[in-house]
Amino acid sequence: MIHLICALKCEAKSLIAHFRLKNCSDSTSFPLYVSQDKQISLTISGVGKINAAAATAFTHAFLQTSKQDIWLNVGIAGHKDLEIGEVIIAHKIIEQSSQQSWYPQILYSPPCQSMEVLSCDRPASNYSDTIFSDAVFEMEAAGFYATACRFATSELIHVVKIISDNQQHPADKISTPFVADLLKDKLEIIDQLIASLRQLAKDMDSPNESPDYYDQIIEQWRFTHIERNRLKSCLNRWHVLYPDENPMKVLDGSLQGKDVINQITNKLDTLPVYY
Amino acid sequence: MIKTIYIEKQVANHPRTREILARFPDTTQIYCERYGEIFNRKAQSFRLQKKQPALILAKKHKGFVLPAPEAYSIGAKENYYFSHMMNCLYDCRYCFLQGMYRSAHYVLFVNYEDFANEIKNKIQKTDKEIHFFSGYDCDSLALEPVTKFLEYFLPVFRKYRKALLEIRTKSTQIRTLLNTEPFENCVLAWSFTPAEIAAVLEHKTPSVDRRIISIIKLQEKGWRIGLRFDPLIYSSEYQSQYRKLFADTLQICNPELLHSVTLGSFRLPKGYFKSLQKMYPDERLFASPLEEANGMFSYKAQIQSEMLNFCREEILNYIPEEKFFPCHNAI
Repeated sequence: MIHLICALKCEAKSLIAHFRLKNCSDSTSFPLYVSQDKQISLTISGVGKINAAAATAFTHAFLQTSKQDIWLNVGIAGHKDLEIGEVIIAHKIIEQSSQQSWYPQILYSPPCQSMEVLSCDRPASNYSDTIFSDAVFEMEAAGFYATACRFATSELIHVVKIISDNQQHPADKISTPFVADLLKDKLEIIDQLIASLRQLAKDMDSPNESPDYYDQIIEQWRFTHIERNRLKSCLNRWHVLYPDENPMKVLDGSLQGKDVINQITNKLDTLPVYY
Repeated sequence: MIKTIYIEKQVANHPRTREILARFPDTTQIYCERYGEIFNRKAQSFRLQKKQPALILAKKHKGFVLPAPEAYSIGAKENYYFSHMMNCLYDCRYCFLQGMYRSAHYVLFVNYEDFANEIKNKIQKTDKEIHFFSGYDCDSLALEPVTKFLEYFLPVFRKYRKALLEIRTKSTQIRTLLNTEPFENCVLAWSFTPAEIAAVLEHKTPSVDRRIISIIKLQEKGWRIGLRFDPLIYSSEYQSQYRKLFADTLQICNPELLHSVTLGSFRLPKGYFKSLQKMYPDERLFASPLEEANGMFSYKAQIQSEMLNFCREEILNYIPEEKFFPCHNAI
């Protein structure tokens, strides 16, 4: 599943329309939108890192997200001289107040350039910060990223920013329709990014928690909690070595769960292994 | 192909850093305070990072040279290892590095001079024969065009005849070695598993045949060679597979230049094994007849013992016993 976190409704508007997301009325803490197939969600966090962190945690808890999910913080940002409408992806996020840094892992060819992002506590008016002179300024990335890393693997968590203001066009000239149009023009890049991340996420294999024949076996024999875990690992091993064979064929009416495990294990240990 | 380089600010102006960055002008270069900010983070996927590893240029501060486990000895009483790099270009499914590190990025410690000073100290403090191993936490040669590891360390060891350097590798990056005059106290040690197994488990490595060609070329030049059949991987056809491998490798070795042959069984600490099994749930190796004993996963005792005995007998058909160092049962 893909989770988009935006600070403002006007940032979210085009994404909601593009992905045909529906308002989830059960969500009262943050405005939350979900696609019909439940594969994309969007949460509007409000401005600032604390709101971004809270909305990310809320999304995780509300949707029961998994480790393989993709997380994107999409929003506007300022830069001293990047052109308005330029899209960047963060390769380093610095929290201005604590100077703590995070390094999103870009393991694909990004559809836009990558840059340092400086997460500020207040809107930045000075575009020529002497320490982070080439960074993109915004207010949510640090809160979003640090929180999302608790719920998913960092390679699938990214921050995408669209330049909305610079020295020539300062932030006080930004209007709600202007922001909505900026996002609308960059949907193709966001689509490309999501496609790359989806491709990457396919390689996030995890052990099968419900291997073939597991349900049938636990219906017939009694297992303790520990034995159930051993049975899963046994059946996963069976699936790797003999995917076309039914392990229940080797069971000869054992009465205890541990006998079932022993019989499958013994069979596995005697069958040939080829490379 | 390296696309991203992280650089610790304190080594930004190190000549080795500058040289490497100049070699990769089109990479994204990102500065950090300490490599652990990237390498030791939680919530990382080794498997995903292995698809596109970044290079991290860092400074090592301590632990330049560490005692090697006794079981790894190839004849000396004093044994040390050193790792100028963490992680490997290759992707061998049995490799403990996948379980040991959270990140698959390559960390290169550019302060070779500090490693060399520590090596010299160890050599000067002993009268005994002393061995140094490189290639535990990385492949020593695989990134040679970038790291210039050999260019720096071969002259260090050339000066100290009582200190033997073993360079462990699966690589065919031998240009530097072919352009360097060999010396007695350097052993180039290649790791092998049978070709059928290597094709399945040793991803991104040169084929067994290409490794053998490298050995032949280096022997012609006069370099001393080691053969490392480690880890031994079980298959139902292991006898024919290993018999062929021993014939292919040991027969081509010049007995005078063959320094040593070692044999090691497959074993992984429990924690590493569990991580790997989780990372690659469909991997046949981890579904093999393994068992846990004393916190280590290895083949069941009977299989292990049969394989070791078989391989020992086969190897001793080719080499004298004094060059054979069997069974390393430790990491």
